[in-house]
This record gives sequence, C-alpha cells and structure tokens, in this order.
Amino acid sequence: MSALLFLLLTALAYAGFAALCLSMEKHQMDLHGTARAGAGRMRQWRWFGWGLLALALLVAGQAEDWARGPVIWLGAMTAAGLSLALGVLPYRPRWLAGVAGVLAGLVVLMAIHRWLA
Amino acid sequence: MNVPSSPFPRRLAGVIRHPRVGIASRSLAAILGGYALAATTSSFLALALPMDRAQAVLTGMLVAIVAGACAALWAFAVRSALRAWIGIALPALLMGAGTVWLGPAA
Amino acid sequence: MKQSFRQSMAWLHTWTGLLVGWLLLLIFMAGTASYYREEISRWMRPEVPATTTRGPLAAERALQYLQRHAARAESWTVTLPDDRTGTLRMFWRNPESATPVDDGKRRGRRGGRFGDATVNPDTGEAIAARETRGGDFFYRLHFDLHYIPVVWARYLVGFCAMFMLVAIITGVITHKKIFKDFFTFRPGKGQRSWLDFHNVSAVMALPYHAMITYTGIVTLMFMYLPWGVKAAYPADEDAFFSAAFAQFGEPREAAGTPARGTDIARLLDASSRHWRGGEPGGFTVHHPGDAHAVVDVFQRTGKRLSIDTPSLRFDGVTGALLDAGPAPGGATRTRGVMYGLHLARFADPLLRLLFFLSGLAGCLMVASGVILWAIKERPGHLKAGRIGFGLRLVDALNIGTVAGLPIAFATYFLGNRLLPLAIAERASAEANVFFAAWAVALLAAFAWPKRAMWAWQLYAAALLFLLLPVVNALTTSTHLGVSLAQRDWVMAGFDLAMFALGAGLACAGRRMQRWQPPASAAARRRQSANVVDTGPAGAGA
Repeated sequence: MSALLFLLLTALAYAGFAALCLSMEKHQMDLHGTARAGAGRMRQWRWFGWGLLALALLVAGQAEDWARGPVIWLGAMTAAGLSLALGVLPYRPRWLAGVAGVLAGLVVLMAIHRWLA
Repeated sequence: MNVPSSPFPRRLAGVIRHPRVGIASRSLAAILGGYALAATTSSFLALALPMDRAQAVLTGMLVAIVAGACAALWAFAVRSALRAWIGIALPALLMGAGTVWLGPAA
Repeated sequence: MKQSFRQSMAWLHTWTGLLVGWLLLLIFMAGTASYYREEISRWMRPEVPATTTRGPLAAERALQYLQRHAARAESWTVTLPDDRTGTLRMFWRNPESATPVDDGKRRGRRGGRFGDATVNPDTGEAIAARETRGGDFFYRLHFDLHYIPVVWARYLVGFCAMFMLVAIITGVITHKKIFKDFFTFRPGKGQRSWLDFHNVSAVMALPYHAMITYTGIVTLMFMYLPWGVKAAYPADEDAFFSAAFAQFGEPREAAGTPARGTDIARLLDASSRHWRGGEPGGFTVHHPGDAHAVVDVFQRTGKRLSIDTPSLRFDGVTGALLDAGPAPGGATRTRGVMYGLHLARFADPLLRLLFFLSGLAGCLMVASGVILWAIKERPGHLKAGRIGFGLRLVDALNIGTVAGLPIAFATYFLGNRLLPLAIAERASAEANVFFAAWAVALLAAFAWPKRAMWAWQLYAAALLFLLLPVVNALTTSTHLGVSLAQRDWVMAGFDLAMFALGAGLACAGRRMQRWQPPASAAARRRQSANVVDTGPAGAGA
C-alpha cells in the first residue's frame, strides 16, 4: 500500500473514531464538563463518525481489491484506535480534534506532492 | 423395621456436589469432550457434506475447530456438569454413529 | 454453576487465560517477531551484502550452482530472491530416498536425503556468513518451541491456541460495556487502569486477535484433526492431499537418457505472460538433465491473500506447456486464505508494520491480563498477612516472562554479534543463549518477586536493547552510520527499532520504579483537610 493510502486511511479512521468518541456522553463529560454537547449534537457526531469509517472502508476497497482492502482497513482502524484510546484521550485530551486536523493536513500535503511529482 | 440410610451414598453425593468436582468435571467435558466433538464433527461432515470429497474434508476441519470452542463455552455456561456432558457427548456420539453408518464414500 | 452466564464466562476467561498465559506470551512474541523474519535474518548475517540480481539471471545462476553441486539429484527446487530475501534458496532430493515432505502441506513418509543451499544471486556462490538461524529461530519457536520433539510442541501450541480462542470469545461475552468503554483508558488508577488497558488492547485489535488465533489452528489442522481424512480416504491419504491442493500429480518417469534442458528464462517469461503479470516466485525441476525433465513454475505470493499460488508445468526439454494446473475448490481457497492471513506474506512494508503493531497489541493484552490477575488477588493476601503460593508463583512468572522474555530476545541478538564466529554448532549456541537469558530472568524473579525486580528486569531489557546498535557498530561494518548513508533500510530499521524498544522498556521500568500506591480515600480526605487548615492562616504564622 502506498504511504499516501496508509496516511489517508489512518486519518479517516482516526477522525471517525474521534467523532464517535465525541458522540458519547461519558467522553463529552470528561472533555467539556458542563459545556458538553446535547443529544442532538451527539447524534450528529455519531453519524459523522460511522460515515468516516465507512468511507475509509470504501477507499481501501477501491484502492486495493476487496480482499486486501478490508484487511488494510482493519489495520488502519487498529492503529488509529490504539493511538486515540491509549495516547491522545488519556494524556492529551485537548488534542483530540487537533490530531485529526494534523493528519488531514499531512494527507493533503502528500497528495499535492504526489500530484506535482 | 426402618433401615437407616448408609452413610456412604450420602458422602459420595456430598463429594460429587463439591464445587471443585463440578469444575473438574466440566473441564474434562470441555477438553476431552470438546476434542471428541471436534473429531466426530470433522469426520461426519467429511462424509455427509454434499460436495467434492476433498472439499468436504477441508470444510469439516474448518467447522470442527469452531465446534470444539463452542463445546468449551457450553461446558461452563450450563447449569450443571451433567448437562455439560450430555450437551457435548450426545452430538459427538450421534456424529460418530453417523460417520460409521455413512462409511467411506464410494 | 449457580451464577449468571456472564459470570461463568468471566470465570472461564480468567482460567483459560491464566493457565496458558505465559506460554502464550512466548508464542505471541515469537510470532510477532516473525513478521520481520527475513529482515532479522539479514541483520544477523551482516557479512552478506545487499544483492541486486533478480529474475531470470538469478534463476540461471541457481541452475549453474545446482549443476555443479547436485547434478545427480532427482529434483531441484529453487526459490527466487525478492526484495525481502536477497538470496537464492534451493533444495534438492537425492536419488535413493523416499517421497519428500514440505511444510506439512503434503504429508509424505519421512526420510529421504535432501541437500540445501543459500546462494548469492550476484555471484552464483554459496553464501559465506556466520552460522546462525537468524529470524527463522523465532518462526520455528512460534510453533515448534524448542528442546522438545516437534510433534509434542505442536500439540501443546495447538492446545494453547484453543484456550486462547475460548479466552477471546469469553472475553467478548464478559465485557459488559464493550461499546461504552471502547475508548476508555484511565491511567494512574491501579487495578482500574490495568483492566482498561487490557480491554482496550484487546478490543482495538479484536478482529486481528480472533483471526490470528483461528488461522493459527488452521495452519496445523491436518495434524490436529486427521479424522476427516481417515474417514473419507481410508485407503490412500495422499490422494486427499493431491485432490485438496490442486497439485500436479507425479511427473512422468525419467527416461534415463541425458538431454539438454531448455532455457529457464524462457519458461519464467512464458509463466509471467500466462499469469498476465504475476511474477514467478520459484520453480522445481524434476529429473534435471534427463530427456523427460519437467519444470513446475510457481507464482510469487505477491498481493494475493492465499498462501497457495498458481503453478504451471512445462516440458523441461522443449519448453512446451504441459499442464496449467487444476482450479482449486472453494474450501481449498478458503483454507488457503486462512493460512495466508496468518503468515501475512502478502503484506507490503506498511501493511506489515500494521500487522506487527497488532501483534504487539496482542502481547500487551496477554501481559496485562496475567498482571491484572495478580493485582486483583493481592489485597486478599495482604489482608491475610502473607502472600500465598499461587500469587507468589504468578508474580514470579509475570516478572520472569513479561520482562524476562524481552531480555531473552535482546540477548539472542547480542549473542549473534558476540559469540565467536568459529565455534561448533553456533546456531544452536545462539538459541541456547536465548533460553539461558530467559532462565536467569525467571530464576531471579522466583528469588525476589517484588516490584523492585520488575524495575530491575525492565531496565536490564532496556539496557540490552539500547546496547545492540552500539555492539553492532563495534563488531561489524553495517552499523547505523553506514546503513543510513547507504539507505539500507533493513539494517538501519533494525537498529532504530532496537533503540525504540529500549526506550520504551526504560520508560516502563521508570514507571515501575516510581510507582506510588494510590492513596486510600480516607488518606486523600485527610490530605485535602490539612491543606485547607494550614491555608492562609497557616501561611502567615
């Protein structure tokens, strides 16, 4: 798998998991306390999160074939999930959205680099 | 005349009802019985599945592994060690009999 | 049992995990290391330069070597070099022998005289390097263990794998809040943190853990469950294997008259065209030098998930295509994919890294599980005033395995660099060094199974890993300075990975050393009350 695909899948998986995290009351309490999102907003996060994960699967299946694709997708989800749950959330919770942004930015940069090369 | 009940059967019943005996019994059912179930599943499916002989053998093996794991779960999920044994031994015996009855495919 | 379904599954989860946990750690660590088996082998033979020759030229050099060293063999088998293994691997079957065995995929009668060689495709000469098993040691350790007969080891490993499969299933059943606690890890809270960590490392890689355990059993299932074969093929079990694996039958008999073999490059090219771009991974020549020679070319694994790859059979003299190979059946393909997923030969470097990461998660899952048991047990023992035998045993095994195995791994690599090159049975000596180091760690742990020993062993492991690139620099000319300059990512990557592992273990050792028992609720209340009392009034006094 190319580095770009790897980065893209990890970024999508991380963003999806981050969104699902924000859709959970427990984590909203921990992150924002009284300013936590309401039920409607959490539902939006849930749809967004699942959508991103599904998109990642679609990208993986299209980029590789539908045998390797799901394998790669699961690997990217594991990497993203472990980073989020064992790294970002317990030690740098404020960076939750920031990391997603950084990953997305890296993907864009790498895509531009690929396109120009 | 009243015949007092012998102490031995009551002691035996006490031993059998001891939790450690129950656990040991279930463990044997899970491990030995589970393997017997896997073995008979693989041989029965090898003969009974309506597909090419070699493919049936392979399929039987792949399914038998799962059957063995299920037997272990069953052994500890049911209410008594006796049920554990029956739930594992019965299908194993049936499939063993089925294997013998079907015999080697022509 | 008079408890709920979930409770009984929790009980089963604890015991299936605990009883085989330490052996599982060995199996898991060796297996995870095996993802980089070829790279480890390369690092452990630093004398062998990186090679560039591939494809038809490498094949020709292989045949030249075989003409010189195995001219009278009944068959030659050559595996061509690729980017992970830069060498030609070959083995041959000498005339007066029984049918060959290969990998348990095809059971044959044991015996028969084989020769084998590893050849540099650039020079055509056999590789002259220090005698070592390299990464193959970990690959074999993973399912053949060591020091015990291979058959016993495989049954034992299979038994542990079944226990692990049950542990995974019961773990999922018993994890009440698997969705709610999906992202939950709260550090610094003692038992709660360990449970969170165990749950997260298990759930985040759950597809992997379930897959690797089931497929692991599948790789050896012919040995564990031969009953279907016996029932369906009572007279001739070999017929099952030919039918199941869509293999070519025996090639025609040797003619007895010599004949010039056709150009191998032509056959490799014809194969590649037939497969529309699929690359040849190797070939077997039956009856080399004979008029009835036959060449089977098999495809490289490449990106396909299955371990089985297509092969083509050619006439060895005319080069004509004799047989394009039967199409495999559905169950054959399924089993092939299961086996392939376990070995992950199809993985490119980035995907391989993901597999490795998941394997590490598995090691952490098992380790945190056995540690968690000890943590849960301890309060009862402390209350009773003394640590009972069971807990002491578990504590010792935990330290000696969770921290002791990394010590053994690092020592194995150090042994490769430090053992004298000329000693007899050097490869076995390296393996013995691994187990000697593990034994020392276990003995030390049994002698003093306390927190301090945890820190000591973790620091020792860290030190040994950090020393590796240094020792590499002192004993070879393939150290980081050279490998980074030459962009030799295998050698450089290995050294860097050793630094990373050493750093990680040092951090773990530090946490162990500085750990404070979490204050009880009463102590915490007293502490905050004191602060309030000696507040502004106290400061001024």
